[in-house]
Amino acid sequence: MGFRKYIPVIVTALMVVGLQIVLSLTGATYYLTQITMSAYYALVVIGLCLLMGYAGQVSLGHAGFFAIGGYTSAVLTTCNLIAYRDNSLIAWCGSLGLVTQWTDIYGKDILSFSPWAALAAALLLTSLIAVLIGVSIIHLKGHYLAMATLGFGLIIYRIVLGAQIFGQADGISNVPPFGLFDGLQVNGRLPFRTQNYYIAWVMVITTMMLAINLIDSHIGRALRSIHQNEEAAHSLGVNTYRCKLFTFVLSALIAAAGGIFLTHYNGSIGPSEVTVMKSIRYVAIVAVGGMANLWGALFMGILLNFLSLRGVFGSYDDAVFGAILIGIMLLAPQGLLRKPDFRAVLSFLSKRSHG
Amino acid sequence: MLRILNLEAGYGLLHILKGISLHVLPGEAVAIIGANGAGKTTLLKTIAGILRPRSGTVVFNKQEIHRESPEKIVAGGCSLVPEGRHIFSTMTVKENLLLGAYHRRRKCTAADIAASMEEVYDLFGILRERANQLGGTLSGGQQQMLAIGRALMSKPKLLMMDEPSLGVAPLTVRDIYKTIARLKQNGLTILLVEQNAQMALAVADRGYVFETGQIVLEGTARELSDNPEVQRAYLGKDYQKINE
Repeated sequence: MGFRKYIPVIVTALMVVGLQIVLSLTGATYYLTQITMSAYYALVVIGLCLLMGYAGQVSLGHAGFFAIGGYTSAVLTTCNLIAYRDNSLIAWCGSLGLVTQWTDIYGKDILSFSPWAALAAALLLTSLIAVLIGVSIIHLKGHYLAMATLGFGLIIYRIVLGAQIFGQADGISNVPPFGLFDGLQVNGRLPFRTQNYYIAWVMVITTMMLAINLIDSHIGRALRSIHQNEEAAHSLGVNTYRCKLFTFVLSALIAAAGGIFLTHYNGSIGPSEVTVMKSIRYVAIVAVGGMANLWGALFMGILLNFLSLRGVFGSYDDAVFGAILIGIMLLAPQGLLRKPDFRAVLSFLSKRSHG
Repeated sequence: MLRILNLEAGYGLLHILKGISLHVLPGEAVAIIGANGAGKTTLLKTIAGILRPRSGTVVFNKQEIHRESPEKIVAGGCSLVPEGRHIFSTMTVKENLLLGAYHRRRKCTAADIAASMEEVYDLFGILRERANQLGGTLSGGQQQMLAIGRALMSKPKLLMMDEPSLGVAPLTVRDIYKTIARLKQNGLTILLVEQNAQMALAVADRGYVFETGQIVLEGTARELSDNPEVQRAYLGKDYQKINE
């Protein structure tokens, strides 16, 4: 098992490199921008796939966690502290490297928290909220859990839409790029296009490896056992509550990370990222990918988000995802991307032929 | 090893166990027999901590466990093989067994767990052959073996089994009961719930007869299988005469 589970990782990495080469040879590098954005959305999908497919918990509030990550980071990196420059607390933060001074596109000097500090704060806040939400709702099952997470998503949406600090309907723009290491930065401007394509993919592949190893560990087995038969898992001494809570928080953190990096990449975030339709979109993508199928979720996450970002679905965008969800539930509840079960097909055909 | 006093339990408005008191001594095999709905499964679920008792006490290894969580009870050495097996059908046989050792993941090394797995494979050879097959592809009897093996992976002191003969071919039932007898010889304490009273009383030392949530009879396995009431109700002895 050890090495074999990394084969898809290697194949994916090769395909990513291959795609970039093909696009640069054909001069279609403008596709890279949307692929990069899709990759960050795919992070959310991977996290949700862990939660839905493996722990069996539906969340209709993942856009909320995406927003908590993105908005926290956006607020902290754009709030101008220049007036408080001489404040001892700010000066102390500066000496720790938590605040940086930069110039925005209008040439205005801005003193704000550094993206790293904002990242840490955003992840901390997300885990705090996820634990609070999780502790209170994770014992719910099925529709009830879906309802509760839906409620959470709606609350976050209304907060974002209503609060001055989050820019209300305008959202927050002018978010600075995220300098990762020297030279490397999450930046949506043209010269950084290829670099960012790879940064996003490194994150996706790292997350995939994390997820694969999690599934293969005792936690993964415990999760699958809960999904299949919670009572039997109980009788084996699996602490179902803790396992589910852990996955819920992890999945929220992955969604938040997607939100943080996409916000820095786009340079902005708005309330459209937080709508319930976004949450439903993530659920639909996981369902198309085949629920407990990480690679399927990743592939569909990239493909469908890319098509959506390219505007292929036009103004029917949300309707398409709704239709996908209905279609999958009715016609292929196991998802489109799963290992074909030839035996089932054969037995189906033979039953047919016997009339 | 296990002492239950005045246990009452049920689901919602349903009052199922009405003051059960029984005990299991170390190294003993005790059978609980009774018809459908007598409360046998409810009793095992309550001991395992899956169901909360309304009143009464359960003492296991000198510790009160009726308020503990299932994971604490399993870690304490009391394992349940649930009714209808409940194996994880989309996981391999090996993964099913590994899940049985879930609570030992911090205390034991991988080698310890591999050793326990060898013991289970020695007990049920077929599981070794099918180690990488999905649980759902096993036959009913093999699934029962897997469920027992999975419970043994937690290194229990007391093994509780709920209807191990349910939905299993008669020949395989014999095999399973031979294994239960072997486990007992190796010193494992066993609490067995069965509708198949004949099989259960053949392997048990003592037994209790349940009827609508109460114990109506208790005694050694011998006494119970000789008891005309038990013979009539659970061993089907009289039917022949009636037919004649």
